[in-house]
Amino acid sequence: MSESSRVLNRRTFFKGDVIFNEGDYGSQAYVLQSGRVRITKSLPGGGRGTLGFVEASGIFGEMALIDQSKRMASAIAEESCVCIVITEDLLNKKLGNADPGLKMLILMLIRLLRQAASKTPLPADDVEALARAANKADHLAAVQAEKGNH
Amino acid sequence: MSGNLVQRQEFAAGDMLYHEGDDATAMYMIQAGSIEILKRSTDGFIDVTEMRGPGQVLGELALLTSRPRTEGARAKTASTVIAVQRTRLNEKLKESDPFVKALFQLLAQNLLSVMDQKHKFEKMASLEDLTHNDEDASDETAKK
Repeated sequence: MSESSRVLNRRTFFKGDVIFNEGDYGSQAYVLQSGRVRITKSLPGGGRGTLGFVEASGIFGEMALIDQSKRMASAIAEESCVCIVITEDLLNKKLGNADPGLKMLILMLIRLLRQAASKTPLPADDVEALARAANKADHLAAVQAEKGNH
Repeated sequence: MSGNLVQRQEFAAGDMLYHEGDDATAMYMIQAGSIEILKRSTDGFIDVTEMRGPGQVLGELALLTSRPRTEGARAKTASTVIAVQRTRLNEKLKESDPFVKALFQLLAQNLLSVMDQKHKFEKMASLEDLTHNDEDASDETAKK
């Protein structure tokens, strides 16, 4: 616990501050502790559109962090905001401790979200990988439960 | 088998994956085959509103709630799907770190709203097609 609280760090943004820009390579996700963040995306015809708002206790910026691709959207402080910064290390630790099936599902959701924008379906290999990871996790759990019974 | 978070399921052509109005118990990812999305229209007929194929998902509502299905799903051809079971998912989430749990819920919510918006756009596009076709009857864009 003490280790993770050392990793957690807090940042304050003021109204209009850009927290991150679309197209950046991100290595941090944010948990919004107070304030409001606007998520915007550049439109094909030029200009920007608002995708939505993040309210207190919401998470944002998690996609680029998990699959190491570019930020899909920009995050701009709509008012004064306090954010907890989640580093790649902390996230990997948390995901590493997560159930492998659940972890796979989370990665899958991120790819689905990215691909929903481009309208292309997931490659068959990805679907197969999820099935295998989840079955392996359940198999391990079953083996361990059985060991526990003896 | 019912204890697994995900399981592979096979459906023969014509098999129903779920019916409109059923409680949402699973999300499906299509591995092979093609699945028809069915919706009961106001005149009581069941229409095929959409087709989904390998790498696409359906029934994603089940990731978040057990609310009744707003559409049905039927295998058009012999299909293999990976089903994610909601009850098992809830158990796993309950045991998970709060951050992982929040992250999952956020992603699932985003997926639902993206799919929802996509459907709205598609509906708007087909409405545009309709009005377009009205203006120009010789136009052959009436694919759907």
